Amino acid sequence: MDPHYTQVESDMVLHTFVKEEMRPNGKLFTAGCDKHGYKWGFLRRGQSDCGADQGNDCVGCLGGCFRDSKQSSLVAFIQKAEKEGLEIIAETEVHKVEPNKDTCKVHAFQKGKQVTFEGKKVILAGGAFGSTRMMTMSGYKSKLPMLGKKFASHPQFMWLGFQNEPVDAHKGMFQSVASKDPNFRAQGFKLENVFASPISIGMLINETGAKHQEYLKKYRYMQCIEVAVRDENVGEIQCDNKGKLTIVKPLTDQDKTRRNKGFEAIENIMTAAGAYEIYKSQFYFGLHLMGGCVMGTDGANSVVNPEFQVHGEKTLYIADSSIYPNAPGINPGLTIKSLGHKLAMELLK
Amino acid sequence: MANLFSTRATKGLLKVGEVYCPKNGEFPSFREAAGTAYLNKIVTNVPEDDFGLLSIVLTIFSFLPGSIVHWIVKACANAQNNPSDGVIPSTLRLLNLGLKGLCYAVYYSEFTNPNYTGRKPLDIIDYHVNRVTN
Repeated sequence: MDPHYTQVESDMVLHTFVKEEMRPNGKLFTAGCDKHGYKWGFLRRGQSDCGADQGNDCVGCLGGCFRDSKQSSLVAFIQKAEKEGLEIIAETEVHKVEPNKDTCKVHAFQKGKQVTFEGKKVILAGGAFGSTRMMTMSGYKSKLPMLGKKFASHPQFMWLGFQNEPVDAHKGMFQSVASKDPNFRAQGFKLENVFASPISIGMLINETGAKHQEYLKKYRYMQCIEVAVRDENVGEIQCDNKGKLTIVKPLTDQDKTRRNKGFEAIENIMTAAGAYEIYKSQFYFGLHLMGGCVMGTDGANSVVNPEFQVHGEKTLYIADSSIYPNAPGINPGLTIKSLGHKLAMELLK
Repeated sequence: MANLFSTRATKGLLKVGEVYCPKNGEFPSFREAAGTAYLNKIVTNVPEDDFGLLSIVLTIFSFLPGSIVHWIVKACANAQNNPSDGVIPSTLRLLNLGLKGLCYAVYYSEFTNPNYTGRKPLDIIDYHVNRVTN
C-alpha cells in the first residue's frame, strides 16, 4: 500500500502541529501525560489554512469546515477529478445495483423519479452504512452471508476536567496533540485532546435541569480528553426491505476493559493537571464507521475479494470503509483514500 | 415530503424542554428562549420515519402531566448512564439522544426565540466563537 499512501499524501495538504500552536487544553493534556510518563505527540492533520492566526476558532469546523481547509475528499480530490471530467449527479439515491457479465446497472430515485444508469464497471463508495444498504437492497444478503457483519466504530468517550482558570478549549486550533504511548496502543486504546460546542458537550452530561445548566456555565473552564477504543468488530448493520437501517453494536467485555484502561489514564492526566472535578461521562459514540462489506478471500467469510470486486461479480466493486476487515484503532480516513487510489490504479491498467 | 412539526408536537417539545432547560437563575426557561420557529429547519434532513416517530412521542408528551414527562426523561437518562442490552433500554437511549439533542440544539444555539430579549444561554455560559472566512 505504500505507493498509494505516498501518492494520496502528496495530493493533500498535511499539517503537523508545533508547540506554538498548542492551546491550554493541549498544554494541560501534555503536562498531565508528562507527570505520568505517558508518551504524546503532535498531530498531523489534513488541513490547509485554518486561519487560527487570524483569530478563527476551529470548534466550528465540527459542523463542517466552512473555510474548506479540511482536506476531505470533496476538497482534496473531487474538485480535481471534476476538472478531469468527473460528473456529479446530486440528490440521487441508489437503491439497487444489478451487475451482469459485461456491465452493471444502477437503479436510483432522483427527486422521486426512477432512473437507471449503466456502466462497464460500478464502484460503490457509500461508506459502511451506504454501501451495506445498497448491497442488501440489491439482494446480496442471501448470496453473501457476511454482508452487514463485522461492523466496528471505535467507540469514543469524552471526559471533562474542571479547572480554576479558563481553559477556553473552544478557542483557536481545535486539537493539536494526542497520545502516542505504545502501552496505550498495546492495551487497545488511544487518547485524543478534543472538545466540542455547547450542544455536544451538553449531550455528555447526563444530569438534566438546573444541575445540567450549572455544568454548562463552567464551559470555559473545561478541559477535555477522549478515549477511543480499538473495538471488536462484532457489530451488525441490518437493513429492512425499505432500506431502513438498524445498527446492533454492543460493547464487548474486551471493549469495556480497553475503555476502562483509557478512563484510568484520563483520570491520572486530569488529576495531575490540576482538575478539581472530573465529569466521567458514560455517553459514547462512534465516528469511524467500518465494515459491513468486509474484504476477504471467499464469499463465506467476506463480501469483496482482495481486488475490491464483490464475490462472484466482474463489474461491481466496493472501495470505502465498509471493506475494512477489522478496526485499526486509528483514524481510517487516509487509508480509505489510499484504498480508492489502489483500486483506481488497478482499473486503469 | 418536508418534516414539519405540528402545533401539538411543538407543545410537547416545549413541555419536555422545560425539564431539560428550566428557568434557573440567569438561565431562561426553554419556553422563553427556544426558537421554535427554527425547529423545522433543524430537522430538515432527519429521515422521514425517525421524524414521524419523534413527532408521535412529542405529541403524546403534550397530553401528559409534567410529572410523567419528568419521570420519562429520568428513565431515559438512567438508561444512558447504566447501559444494558435489550429493546427497552436501547429504545430509551435512543429517545434520550433524540430529545436531548433537539432541546439543546434549540436552547444552546444562535437560533433563539426572536421575541426573547433577555440574556441568551450562549451569552450566559460566555460562549463566543470567531468564524473567519477565507
